[in-house]
Amino acid sequence: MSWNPSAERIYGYSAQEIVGRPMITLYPPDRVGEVGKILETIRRGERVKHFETVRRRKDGTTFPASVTVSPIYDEHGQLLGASSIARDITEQQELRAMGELRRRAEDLEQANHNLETFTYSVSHDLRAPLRAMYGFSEALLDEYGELLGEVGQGYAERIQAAGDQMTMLIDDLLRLSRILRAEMHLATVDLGAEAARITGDLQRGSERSVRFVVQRPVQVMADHALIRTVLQNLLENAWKFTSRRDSATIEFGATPTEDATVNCYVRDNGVGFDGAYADQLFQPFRRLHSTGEFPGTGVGLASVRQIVERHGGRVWAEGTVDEGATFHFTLRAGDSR
Amino acid sequence: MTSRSILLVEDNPDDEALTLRALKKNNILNEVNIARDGAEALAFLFPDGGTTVRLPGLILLDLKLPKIEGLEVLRRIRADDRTKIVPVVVLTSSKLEDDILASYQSGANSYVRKPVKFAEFADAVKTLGVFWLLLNEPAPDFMPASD
Repeated sequence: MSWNPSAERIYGYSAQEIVGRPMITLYPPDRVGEVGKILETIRRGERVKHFETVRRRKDGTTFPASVTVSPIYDEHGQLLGASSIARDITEQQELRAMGELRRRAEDLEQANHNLETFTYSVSHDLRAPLRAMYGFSEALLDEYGELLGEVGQGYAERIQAAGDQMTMLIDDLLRLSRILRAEMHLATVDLGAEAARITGDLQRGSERSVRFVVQRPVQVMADHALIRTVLQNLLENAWKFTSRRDSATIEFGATPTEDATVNCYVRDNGVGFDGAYADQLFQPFRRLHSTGEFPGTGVGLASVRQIVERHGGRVWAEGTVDEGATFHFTLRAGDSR
Repeated sequence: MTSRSILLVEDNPDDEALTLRALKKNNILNEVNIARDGAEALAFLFPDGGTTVRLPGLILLDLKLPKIEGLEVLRRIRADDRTKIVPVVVLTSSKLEDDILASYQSGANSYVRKPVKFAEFADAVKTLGVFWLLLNEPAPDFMPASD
């Protein structure tokens, strides 16, 4: 075995130290199996070219290496041994990783750009036909109402109601796409205070008497605007699905867990749902009630899931028909003071 | 509200019909000329390529237009000393901040988002008509076309 200065620099062994020692000295334990394969190739008279692997330095550290091994023959064509040249390719690998990162960043930017184009088209192009639906059905009612008769007027009103549904869908879609794009600024938020504010608003705008039970404080780490959307969606849902209860109760609270997460819940005693369909609730546009029964688009809970998952948390729901529903979500605990 | 004419630049025939209906509903009986893309709008304003100009009392301009975009139409209106003083209201579906900012930077007098519901749309058109054709005092020596 001969040993040149560049090998000495890469591996940290001097020629005296390494010559005469087995080849596997330079192999990390999990790469020792490569020896057999390399020798086999050499015996067939072939080269191992730019084989990317890992090698071990004298100090025990490893480095990514590109290895080329060529057979050496004597003047009679007899195989004498092999010359092995290893290059430390740490830098190349880093460059490659950086290139990969850059490509991903570019992909992400492209995806964001596409999302923006999509948002534009949703807000602009989808509203134009909507305006026509509203405008001309209104013109029909206004100018030809008598000719249409009661049934005809009912049809025109259905067009307008469908327009209302579509307006809601567009607004919710835009909201969802904003949620996907929004930058997150994490801070400690008291969800109890937020819940109290939202339930207060709901109560003020209504004649219904609903009992609210809100736990305070519930400190979590979250983006304020986004997490508010979560609470708003869940509490408004609870409000909506208890609308036929004489004595409705809506609760917000949290149970601490052993690690640094907080398990939050919104519970109501409304119409509930069949637990068998719990997973479908969080898919966009999936609804367990008809729009005639309860209005909605099926985007609210999808947004809830998006937001909670962006925070690294989990959402799930439990329900029983006619008894109520509970929506759980986990978040990291905030600084409690 | 009769003397000053309106130039409506709008490529969507539904929006055109609805705008005309909204004007009529609000008794705004001024003459309305319609351009269905940016090129038509410029051809109306500069009928012989720039020697003479036609000056409407108000231009209602959509942004997303075939051939020549609304913003470009606006820039060319502002680039000519004679048409520079015509009030231009951008009337569009977009509420993107970029569009709003670019419109003002290109010299729009106001930016109004077309409401989806007709009642609100009619209100917006009425407010615009009353303000720009009646309340607002046009630039001196401003002689709108009457053809």
